[in-house]
Amino acid sequence: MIPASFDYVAPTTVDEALAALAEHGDDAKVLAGGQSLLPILRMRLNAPGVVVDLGRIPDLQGVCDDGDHIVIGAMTTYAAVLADDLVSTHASLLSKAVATVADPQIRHRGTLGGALVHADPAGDVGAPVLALGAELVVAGPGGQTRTVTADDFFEDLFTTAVGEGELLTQIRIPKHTGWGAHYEKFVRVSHQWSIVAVAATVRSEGGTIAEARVGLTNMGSTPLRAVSVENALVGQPATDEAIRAAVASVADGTNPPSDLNGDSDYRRHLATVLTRRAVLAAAGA
Amino acid sequence: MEFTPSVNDESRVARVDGHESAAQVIRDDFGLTGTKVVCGGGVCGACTILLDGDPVVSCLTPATRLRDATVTTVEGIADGDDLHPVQRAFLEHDGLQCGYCTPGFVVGAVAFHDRWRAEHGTTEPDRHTIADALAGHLCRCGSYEGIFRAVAAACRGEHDGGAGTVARVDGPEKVTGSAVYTTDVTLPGMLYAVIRRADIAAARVGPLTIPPGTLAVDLLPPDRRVRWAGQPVAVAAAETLDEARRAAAALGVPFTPLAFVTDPEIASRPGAPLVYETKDERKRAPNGSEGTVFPASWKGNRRGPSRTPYLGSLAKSRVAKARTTGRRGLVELEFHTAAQLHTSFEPHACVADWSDPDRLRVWMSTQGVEAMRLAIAERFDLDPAKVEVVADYVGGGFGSKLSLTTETVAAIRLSRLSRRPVKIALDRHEELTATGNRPGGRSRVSLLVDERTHGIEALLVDTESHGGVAIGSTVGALSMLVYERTPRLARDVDVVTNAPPGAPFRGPGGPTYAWALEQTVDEVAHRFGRDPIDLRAQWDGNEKRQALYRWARALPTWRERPATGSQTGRFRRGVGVAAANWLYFVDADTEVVVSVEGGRLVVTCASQDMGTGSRTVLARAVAGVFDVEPTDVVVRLGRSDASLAHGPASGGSRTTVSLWSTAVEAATAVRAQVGAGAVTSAHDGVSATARRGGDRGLRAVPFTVGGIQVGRGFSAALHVSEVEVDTRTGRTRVLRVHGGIAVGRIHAPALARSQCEGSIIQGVGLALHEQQVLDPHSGLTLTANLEDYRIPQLGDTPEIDIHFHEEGWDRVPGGGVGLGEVATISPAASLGNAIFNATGWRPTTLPVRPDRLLAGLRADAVR
Repeated sequence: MIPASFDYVAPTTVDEALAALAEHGDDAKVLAGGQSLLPILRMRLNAPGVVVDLGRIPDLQGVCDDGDHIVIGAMTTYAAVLADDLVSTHASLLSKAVATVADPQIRHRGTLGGALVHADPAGDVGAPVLALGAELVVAGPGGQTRTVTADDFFEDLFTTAVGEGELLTQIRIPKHTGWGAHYEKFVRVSHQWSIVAVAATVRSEGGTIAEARVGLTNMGSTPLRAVSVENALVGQPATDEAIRAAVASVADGTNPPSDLNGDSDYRRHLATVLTRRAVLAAAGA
Repeated sequence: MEFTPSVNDESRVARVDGHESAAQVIRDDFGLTGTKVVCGGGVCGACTILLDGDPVVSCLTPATRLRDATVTTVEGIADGDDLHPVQRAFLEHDGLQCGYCTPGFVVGAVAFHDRWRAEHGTTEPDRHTIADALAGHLCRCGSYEGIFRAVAAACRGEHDGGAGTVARVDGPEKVTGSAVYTTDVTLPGMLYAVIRRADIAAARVGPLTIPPGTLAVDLLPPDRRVRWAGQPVAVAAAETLDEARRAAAALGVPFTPLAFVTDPEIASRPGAPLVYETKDERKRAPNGSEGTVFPASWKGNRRGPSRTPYLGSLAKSRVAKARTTGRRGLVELEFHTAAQLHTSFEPHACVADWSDPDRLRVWMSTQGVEAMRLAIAERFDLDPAKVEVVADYVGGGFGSKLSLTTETVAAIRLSRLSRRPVKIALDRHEELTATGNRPGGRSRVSLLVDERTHGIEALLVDTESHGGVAIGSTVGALSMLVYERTPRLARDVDVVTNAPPGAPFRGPGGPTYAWALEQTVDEVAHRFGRDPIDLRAQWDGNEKRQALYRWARALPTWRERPATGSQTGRFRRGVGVAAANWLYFVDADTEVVVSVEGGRLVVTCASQDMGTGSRTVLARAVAGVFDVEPTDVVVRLGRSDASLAHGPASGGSRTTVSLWSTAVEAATAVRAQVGAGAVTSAHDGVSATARRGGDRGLRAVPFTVGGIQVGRGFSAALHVSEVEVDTRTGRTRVLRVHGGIAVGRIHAPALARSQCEGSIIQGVGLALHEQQVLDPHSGLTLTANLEDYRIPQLGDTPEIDIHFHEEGWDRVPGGGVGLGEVATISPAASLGNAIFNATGWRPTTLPVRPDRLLAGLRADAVR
């Protein structure tokens, strides 16, 4: 199908982009990598009057070091995140999750910020960003910025703290240098959207888990963080048995979707199995 | 806005208004139609281009992103006539069949190859690395083994220089993007048309309101009933596709909704809404099978049973008695299958040009140019001499393109009205909704064996086919043709519902019967502690299959299989076997012309090549007679007009067996005329025509069913599969599949192997992934895109080994019969048996989704 006609603007600065959004209000739609927006436009699920293309704003691209954080521009593509040494050194969980996103073609165009704001619960970057305790910088009308914690960022299915007239500009991730990490993704055919996936990153001290962070993909309308499991893992030896016991309750209280890939009970079961595997791998056990 | 990207090293002007995808601009404005659009959603990779050197899907790339960019499409990969090593490797290792996905694969593989070589020299990447690198590409024909081989060979540096060999004579056009499919055809003054479809499952429709100035026609049947969601209602044409879409949406279609039923269980109950109410309506029910539909009685929405008996009453009474006495020799199982969608990558498409009232030219994506020419002439009451059908390249069909379908009729009608060419190409949503499916259904198998000898005493197969509004299932009947001639009875019932119609799909009924029968056989073997191959060998009178049993017994995969249920632990491996039986069809009226033109050998036939390799078969047949390279022979195929003699359709596995010996005979006659030397332009004008005719022996071609001539004997296949089941998640990985195929002599080995590999990959899809799903509240198809309807990709491909048993068909001219269908029948069943061997739990319902497998294992554990 052919998308409905719309106007197109391509600002070169964040301020210009915000001005364009302010001018067109809810008639405007932001184009990042286009990998989710174009299918939506084609299916006419959304018929914006104006598309604001962020592809020509250099300030939104790239990764930099900011002391105890790394800062990723919202328009940095998956491929660039994957190739970046700062990310693989200080937030290897994100690298590992991004490596499972779709396929090389999509990773060349899709952007980290675009995926986070799109907030598809089956997307693979929400859970690691949540688990890593990232802060998300949101710019609003007039160029003011505010910082939202990942815990507050994901509000609902396809809904985030980024409001009308606002843009996500940066993802600030506290350095997790030296942490082991693993993203365990379950699919039926290769390179599908996650049916369930688990993001785990662990700091070990001499065979014992000192700190752990666990995020869940597609176990609810938003990515979830398994805080009780994180706490239960602290002080445990990195053994199959200990980890199995610590993660047993990971799906408690979750309300995952039921669909053609399985019902919510099956997803809860998968979450337990996958968390065990993810934590084991992250702990290097 | 206007900008000038560099496209294949040329500066091109693009004028866009912001809403176009890069793919649209590349195809429609730049005319670079090598870039194909299949899924339109970034899943299949057919539209892959290089954007500033990176592979991206052009269907999801806004055209505006081409500004200041450097673009390379498939047409720009070769350096003039000098192909890229990846292209040469694809040609030599035959990494393609229909070719529709090939441009995307080539571009993606070039990007990977160039980077790999820069970083790793000539080190060979492993399968996993290749699968990851080409993860965003799908091939419905299942050419993945050839693609693995090609990419690995190119990375090893084997194709850096020299021309290399060409396995498939039309490969060069396909790897460079110059092959023109119906979807690529654009004619001057052409209109675009879009079909308006019903979005409800049952309705009565009043008179159509066509806004003034709109060119549109009604497509409803005479009773003006809608019987399934997606049924064509009308069609509108306009100057652009966008306008046509709006025009179709603006047509006034007064629907009066009616009660409908999509669940076959509910449809079978008294009082259910009737899909067909009268005898006349039932007569017009579409035929979902390939052959003739024999008359059967109706009861509500249930048609049949059609009975296929051999001492049927005896079989029934034996089974009934065994049930009462609780005999151990009676194994009874019930199986369920889901509808599988053909998913041809080139959608159904047609360009009809009736601007000259005396000549109708039709480009269409069809499996039968000749059959369609005659069908069009009949449908429009025309002299067939005035009709020409063209299908130079066909992007897959798998059975769904054997008949005259709506888009063609609609385009012709609109062209007649407008006296302009009219193009209709279905989008992916339409293709996955409205162009047919392999019907799902239910089969109950009762197999009674002697407890001591294990000889068969009786076989009952009761099937219910769920072909939506279509009828004509032969699933049960096909089960009767395989093992011992003992008392047996098949009862085939069609249950019609308000669901999209089933259509012939590669071995219609075959994989479905085998899923049930071959698993029941496996269950008998298990119950009596017999080797499943030995048990089949005991029952089987087919000598060709006996040869395959001998081959399979010697396979290490088979010899080292574990005892069923013997494994514990998370990952369990299992090996399963299943046999296949299929009919041999031939088109005895086939004629092939071999001539010399401009000093070159030319072979002509009114047939087509949908990726199965008929062009190559003809070229090889002629080349063999003259001892030249197949690529030296000019093949004229993909066209039917009054000047051409009869050619076979690509269906019923009958193309190669009809073409090969006929081409050899014609070539031999030309050889006799030109003498022993080389063919030169001095021989121009020499020509010979040969006709296939029947086979040698008593009954050359014993009988004809629905225009298909059924030859004597059955073709055979055997599949041995190894799986690994993750018992914690329920996921099955297919590790290895051996396919033994007994169809006699193989005329184009590389292509035959590729086709057999593809049938295994389609079997993996059927067994584990593929399932048409309808919304029960509306009847709409939910699996109408390639994200929700998942076909296997490179990463899901097992290691495949194909073995050809080439003896046993000597009485057939050429010494071999077709293989497209027989190779498709037993892969899924062998996977079912492998899962049983691994876990001790038998999967009876297709597809074997992980959640179902896990639930099955748990239920077994509780028991």
